[in-house]
Amino acid sequence: MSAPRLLEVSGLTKSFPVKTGLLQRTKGQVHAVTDVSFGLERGRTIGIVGESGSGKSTLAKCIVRLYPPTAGRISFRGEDIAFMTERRLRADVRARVQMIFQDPYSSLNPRHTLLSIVDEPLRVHHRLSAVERGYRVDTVLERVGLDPAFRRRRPHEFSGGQRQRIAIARALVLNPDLLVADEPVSALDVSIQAQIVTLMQDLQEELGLAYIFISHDLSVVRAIADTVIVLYLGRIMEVAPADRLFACFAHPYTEALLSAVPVVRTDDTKGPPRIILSGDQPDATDPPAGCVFHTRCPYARDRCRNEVPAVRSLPDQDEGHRLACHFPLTGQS
Amino acid sequence: MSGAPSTRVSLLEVRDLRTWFGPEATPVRAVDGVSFTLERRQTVAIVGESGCGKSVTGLSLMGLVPAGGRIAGGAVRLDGTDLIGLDHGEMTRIRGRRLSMVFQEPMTSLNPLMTVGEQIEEMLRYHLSLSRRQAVERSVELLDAVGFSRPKRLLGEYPHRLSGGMRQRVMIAMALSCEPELLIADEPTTALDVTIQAQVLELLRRLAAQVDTAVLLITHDLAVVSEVADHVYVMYAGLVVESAPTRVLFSKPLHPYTQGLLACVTSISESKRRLRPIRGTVPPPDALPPGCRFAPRCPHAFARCPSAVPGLVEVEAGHQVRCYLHPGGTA
Repeated sequence: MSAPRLLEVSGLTKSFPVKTGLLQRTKGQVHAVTDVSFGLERGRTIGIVGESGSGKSTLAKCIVRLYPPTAGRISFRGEDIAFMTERRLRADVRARVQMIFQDPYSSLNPRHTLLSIVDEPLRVHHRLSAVERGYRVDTVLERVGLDPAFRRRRPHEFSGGQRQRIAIARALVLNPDLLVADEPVSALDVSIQAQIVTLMQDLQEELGLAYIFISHDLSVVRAIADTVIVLYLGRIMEVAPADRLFACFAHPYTEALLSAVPVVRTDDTKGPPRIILSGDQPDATDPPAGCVFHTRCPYARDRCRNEVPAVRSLPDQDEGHRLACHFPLTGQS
Repeated sequence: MSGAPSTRVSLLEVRDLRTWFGPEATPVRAVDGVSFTLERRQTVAIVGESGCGKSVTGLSLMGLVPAGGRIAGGAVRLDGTDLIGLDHGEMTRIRGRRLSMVFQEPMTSLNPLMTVGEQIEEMLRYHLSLSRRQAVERSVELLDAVGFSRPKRLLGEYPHRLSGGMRQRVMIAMALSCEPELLIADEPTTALDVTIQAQVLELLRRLAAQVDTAVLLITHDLAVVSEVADHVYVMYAGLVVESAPTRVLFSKPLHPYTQGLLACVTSISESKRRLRPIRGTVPPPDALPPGCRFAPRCPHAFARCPSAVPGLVEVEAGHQVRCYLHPGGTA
């Protein structure tokens, strides 16, 4: 039997109760993530794209177990961590799965120095001498491109790009297997975005890290991901190897999402016609019946309004291209 | 076509604008001598990273320089009238009426205590002296034009009840309510999802054409610029470093900063790959390097670069660049 995959998520579901009134009675459920399944190998990157409210961040927080999932399995290195106790998570999982966030301004403690921010995970997870910790902190700071001479500085003395480097250093100091990055470059300027993406690519090559890279920016995901998941209202609409997804997408939502992305043009050619989706995403407390995308889908038919499409692979191929649509688009590629 | 530029007055002419902050003796020069022109019905973009002075430029045009700052020199002529010398009352009549602005974060520019209807009606009644009933009718038309399916119901809503995309559309409806000659849009789609961004850009394009409004788009997003702008000014550390018609700028960028920005742009049509980032960051305006301000980050920098700020020279009609690698022109 071959070694287990680094991460295997199956049927992951997370809903939050909506409480109202004095007695905090549960009025309904926000279905943030519904029945999400995918796998990830060591050293690879899976990109998760979708609009705000699509459940990207909730999915990430379930995987790192910042949220307990409502149902499903999260198999990490062959062990199901979906409902593992906090005590066991700390002993076996926390150091191996790290997360970085969009806003490096609010995710770093403003009163701590660079040294104590990066040193803290070592103090929590390992019994090392101060000298050893100092050595490891300096090594990781240099690795992410920060001058160890700045170790007495506090977060406000760094730029946005440098703060994201600090967040990466703090995550890496424990030698994790998996780094979950939730919109890590969305708050940064293009030139700094490129610096951080390049740093993440270098680190992956060197250390064999696996990434879950979450972004609403499809072009950034294209630059870094091996596989892409398209999420809408907490459900997988389509998942495929990146090159295949961007060239041969078959889900109407993927089509609309890709057509909305502005493209740098150096001549007067026009891209494919833009599909402007009408309206906003439906309310996740009361998702539409049938296919959740049918209310905005330009091709919706009766069956879409009544029957939930399962996530399945396309009949003619098995490269891990799966989608949830009764009437997949044809004619690309 | 541009043989005799002085025969007609441009809609907007900015000459050597300087917006400085801090003490007189050691000013922080956020905008340090920026010049550009905008013709009627044109869309012109100012691009650059944060800290380049693009937003301060926009605010200076509106007469809304943040506290601690001042316009230290230059001219801003709207249809021939210099806006810089105007007093508060005169500027208030122009702002919103002939010149309006849309900001990145609509939540901070809408009044949270007033309904959408009250905010739009206030503008219409102040600037156009409409009656209450006329103002309500016009508000409904405007909200309909920006794509709301039930505009009447929206009049009574408060901003916090709306999504980001809806708020931005309300802002655009307000900004266009008096059919201004010039709309300044500062990162109007940066906080929005791509699908909503596409809606908003389409809307700006359509409305600008319908009401003959010129648009000054301030953004760091080069892809958006390439889709909507006619002409682009690239700013770096308070200065325009390159200016060209959009197609020319994207097919033949001359300034190493412009080339660097374009190399950083990710695209959905290119497979997983290595990006080529520009090293370093924008210098803060209180610690500018000597000479060319981009030199410390420039892969082509040579001995002359730190000597003095290079002049902006015209290398061909309509294409200007501020770089010692292109010493052509008259400088």
